[in-house]
Amino acid sequence: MSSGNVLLMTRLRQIRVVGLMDIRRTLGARRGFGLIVFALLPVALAVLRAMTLPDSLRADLGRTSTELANIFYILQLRFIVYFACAFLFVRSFRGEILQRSLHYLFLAPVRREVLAVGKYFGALGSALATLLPSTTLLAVIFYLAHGSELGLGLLFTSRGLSHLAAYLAATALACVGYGALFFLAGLFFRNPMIPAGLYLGFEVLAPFLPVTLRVLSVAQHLRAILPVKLSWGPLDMVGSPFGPFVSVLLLLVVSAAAIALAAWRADHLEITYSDG
Amino acid sequence: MSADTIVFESVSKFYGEVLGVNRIELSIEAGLTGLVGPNGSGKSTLMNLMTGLLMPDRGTIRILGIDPGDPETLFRTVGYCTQWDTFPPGATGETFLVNTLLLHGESPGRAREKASSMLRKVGLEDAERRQIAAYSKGMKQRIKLAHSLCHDPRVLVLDEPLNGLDPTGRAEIIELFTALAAEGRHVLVSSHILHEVDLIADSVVMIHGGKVVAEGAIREVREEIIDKPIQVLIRCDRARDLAARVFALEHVVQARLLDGDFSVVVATRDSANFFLDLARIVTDDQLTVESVMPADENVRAVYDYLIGNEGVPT
Repeated sequence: MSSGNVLLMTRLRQIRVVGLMDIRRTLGARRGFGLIVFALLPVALAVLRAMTLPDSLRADLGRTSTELANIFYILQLRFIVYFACAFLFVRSFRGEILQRSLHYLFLAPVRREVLAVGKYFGALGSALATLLPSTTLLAVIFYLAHGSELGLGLLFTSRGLSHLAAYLAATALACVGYGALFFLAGLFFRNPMIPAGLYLGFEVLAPFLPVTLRVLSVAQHLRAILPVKLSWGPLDMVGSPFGPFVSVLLLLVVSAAAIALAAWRADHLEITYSDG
Repeated sequence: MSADTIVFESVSKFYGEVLGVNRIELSIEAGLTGLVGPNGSGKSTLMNLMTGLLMPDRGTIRILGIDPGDPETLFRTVGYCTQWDTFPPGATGETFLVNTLLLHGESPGRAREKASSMLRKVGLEDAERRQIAAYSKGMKQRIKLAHSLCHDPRVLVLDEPLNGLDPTGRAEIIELFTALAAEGRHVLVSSHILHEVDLIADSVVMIHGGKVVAEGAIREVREEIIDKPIQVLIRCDRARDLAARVFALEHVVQARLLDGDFSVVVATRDSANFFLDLARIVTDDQLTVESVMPADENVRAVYDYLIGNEGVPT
C-alpha cells in the first residue's frame, strides 16, 4: 500500500473513532433519550390522527399521501429535524468548549480538520439514528390508519416504497445540510442558537428571495425531492427553482463548503475556555 | 533547531490587550525541569503554547524539532497534563483512557490492556469503572497524569501535577517523574510551590510577569546573581566565636546566629575567598565543624532575589 493510501486509511480510521465516540456520548447519555422523545413527536401526532380519523376518510389514500407530505415537510423537516440538528451539531464543538473537555481531543495525534470531520459525522450518525426511524414510523402509521391490509398494502407497493425512500432521503439530506450549517455556527458563535434562529427566519423568507440566495436554503432544496408536490395555493409560484438532481447536488456542495470552513476554523481554534 | 531540545525563539502571546508571555527565549534539555512562578505569571500560557492549545502571536516554538501546529506528529512525542479538572461527561477512568488510546491508533483490545496497566500505575485500578465526575481531586489529578502518560511520550508537560495529591501520593508521583527523567525524557513540571520544585527539578525556568527571569540549574542561576551576597550555613560547636571571627573579614557582610550557639549563617560577597578564610579560622581556633552548606541555593531564595518580594510564590 502506498504511503498516500496508508495516510488516507489512517485519517478515515481517526474519523471513525472520533465519530463513534461522539455517537456513544450523545445517544448513551440522558440527553439522547430526550432527543428520541422529541423525534417521536410527529409519530405521536400520527397515532392521534389514526385514532381520530373519520371512517369516511379511511379509504381516501390519495388525501393521506398529501397530508403525509405536508406533515413531513412542515413538521418533520422544518421543525423536528431542524431543531434536532441544531441541538446535535451546535453542541458538537460548542458543547465541548462549554464542558471544558475539548482539549482532550486537541491533545490527540489527530489533525484538527480530521477531528472536525469526525465530530460532524458523529453528530450526523446520532441524527440519522434518531430521525430516520422517526420518519419511517411517521409514514407507516399514516398508512396504517387505513387498516393494515389497505394501508400497508399501498406502502409496500413500488410506489409506496419509493415514497418512503424519498422521505428517508429527504430526512438524511436535511440532517446533512442543516447539520453542516449548525456545525459551522457552533464553531464561530459563542451562542449559536442566535444564528440558528436567524437561519430559521431565512428559511421562511427564502421562497421570496433571489435565486442566488435560495441556493443557501436547505428547505428549498428538500422541497424539490419530495415525492408528492405540495400545493400551497398562491405560494406554489415560489416553489424550488431547481430540479431534484440539481437541488441534491447544490445541497451537498453547500454542506461540504460549510464543513470545510468549520474544519479550517477548528484548525485555528485556541483553547482558553474564557469565552464560553 | 535541535531535535533533542525544546526551543522557544522570541515567543510572545497576548490575550487581546493583556500580556500572556513576552519575548520568551528558552532552550530546555532532557531531564526534570521546573517551571516556577506565581499564579498568573505565564506558566500555563507557556505550556499551552508548547502543546498547540494556544498559538504564538510572534516567534517560533519547536518541541524536539516538531512544530506544535502539527498535532499528528507532536502528540506521538508529547503528553500534556493540563490545569483543567474537567472531563468528558459520563467518562469512566477506563473509557477515558481507552478513547485516548484509540485516538492514538491502538486497537480496541490493546487500548483496553494499556489503559488497565496505566490505571494500575497511577493507583486507580479499583476506580476504573467509576465515573470520573465522582473521583476525588487527587484521583482526578492521577487520571489526568495517566492520560498524559498512556502513550509513552518522550516529552511530558505537567501543569501543577501535584495539586490535590496527599503526601503519599505526592511522593509516589515525584518518584515517577524522577524515574521518567532518568530515562532521558523531558519532564517539564510547573508549580507555584517552590520548595516542591527544589525537591524534584534538575533545572528551573523562572517566570514572572510573562517573562523568563532566569533558567538553568539552581546553583548556576544563584551564582549569576552577583549583587546578592552568597549565604552559607555553618553548624559548629562554637558558632558565636566563629561569627565574631568571620564578621571581621572584609568580604563578609553579615553573620547571624541560629539555634543558640550551634549554627551561624554568613553572607559573603566573595565565596571563593570565604571558604579559604573559613578553613584557616577553623584550624587556628580549633573549631569542630559539623556541616557547611549553601543557605540560599534554593528556588525560593533565588526567585526572591530576582523579582524582590513582589508576588513571590509560596
